[in-house]
Amino acid sequence: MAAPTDATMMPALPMASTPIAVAAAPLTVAEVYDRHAAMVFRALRSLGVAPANLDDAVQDVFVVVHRRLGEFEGRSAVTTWLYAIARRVAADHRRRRPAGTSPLTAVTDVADRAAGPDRALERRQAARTVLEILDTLDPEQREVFALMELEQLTAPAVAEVIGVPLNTVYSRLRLARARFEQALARRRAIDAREVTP
Amino acid sequence: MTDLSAETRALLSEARDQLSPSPDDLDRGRQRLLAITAGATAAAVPATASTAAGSSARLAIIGGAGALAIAVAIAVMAGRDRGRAAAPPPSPAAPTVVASSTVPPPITGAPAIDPPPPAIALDDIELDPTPRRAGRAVAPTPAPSAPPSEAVAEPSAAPVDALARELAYVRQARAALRADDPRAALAALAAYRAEFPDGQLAEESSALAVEAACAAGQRDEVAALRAGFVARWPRSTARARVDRACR
Repeated sequence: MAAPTDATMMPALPMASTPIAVAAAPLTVAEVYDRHAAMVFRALRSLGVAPANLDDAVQDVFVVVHRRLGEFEGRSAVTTWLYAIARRVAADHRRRRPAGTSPLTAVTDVADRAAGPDRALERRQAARTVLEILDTLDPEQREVFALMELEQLTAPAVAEVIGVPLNTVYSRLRLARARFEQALARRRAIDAREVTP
Repeated sequence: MTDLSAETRALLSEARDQLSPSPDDLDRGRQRLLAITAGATAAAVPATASTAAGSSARLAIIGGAGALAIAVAIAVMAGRDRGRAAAPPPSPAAPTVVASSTVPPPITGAPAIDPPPPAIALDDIELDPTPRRAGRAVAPTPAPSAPPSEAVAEPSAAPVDALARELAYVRQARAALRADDPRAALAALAAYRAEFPDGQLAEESSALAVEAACAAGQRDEVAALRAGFVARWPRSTARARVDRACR
């Protein structure tokens, strides 16, 4: 085993939106994880990975990071790289999902971190609703919507992650937003009918 | 551009909070990561040293911490996996992630004088290339008589690719145990040992072997395996699992 280096001596990772000068600030996988794992977890969920597969998917992302980190040249934000890997991992997990199953049914498994039971229920329901609607979108629209509206990436960042022109991102976002709003309106109309005697 | 309503934005914000991982989730993932990277570091350094001068030093940080962490983390992995929904066992011939040599380097960037193109070639990252490779035999289930190493010859596999294969064996054994199929678990572990006699996940695979032998009713075998495990890893965090088997 190589002698450990004092990790505290390593320069801090730049902010997510800042390209990383790797030569001046070497990264460790652990640093990347500590800074960005929450984002990876969330992105994988919003991109369709079921909770039961989430830990494996996160691991898959960081196995790729582990192997490729030495070649990361810092010409782009590390978040862009991570989203791109997460996107591929999510697609891989979706492909392996048994036909007819949905990752959405497990939203109730999402950890309850709200202050009280009512708020917890509201949050679970919100997550469930969003994921259910996302699952009805075209995959290309879904990933743009998830990355921009949930992960709050900019359109140029999404264009870089996905590898499409900026106009394509805007086009997919416009369609996804319209369909999301329509689907949400339908759900609420149905809910209102069920509540009204 | 159609904008979202305030109500929809509020819903998305709620969902975003709910989809964020808990501290426990993050900690569990970190321990798993440490287990993987610590185990792979020693083998990975030669492969990465030629491509990035600083990479071996960077990875060594994890490796240094990992000698202890790997035992802890693998035990955590095992404990958590037992509680998870059963999933189709991964084939060692097609690990979940094979960061093969065909994977393009991450974000190498365009020439500095030109504006960077939107595409960064990351769309080509290949996560599971094996099934799509023509001419490569795929063994769906490893067996001692036909180890995947014979069916899936990858003489130039990188060390981390090997780690992915090791993980696939261990996952398969766990899945078989969860599915109450200890003999399949034992077969997977035997195949693991055949291909990786001194593997990076030897400790976890040996602990699983004790549990699988117990589940298969092989009590004599359990005693022998347990003794071997304790002799090799007397301070293993998997020791409690090993000690509980068939007692």
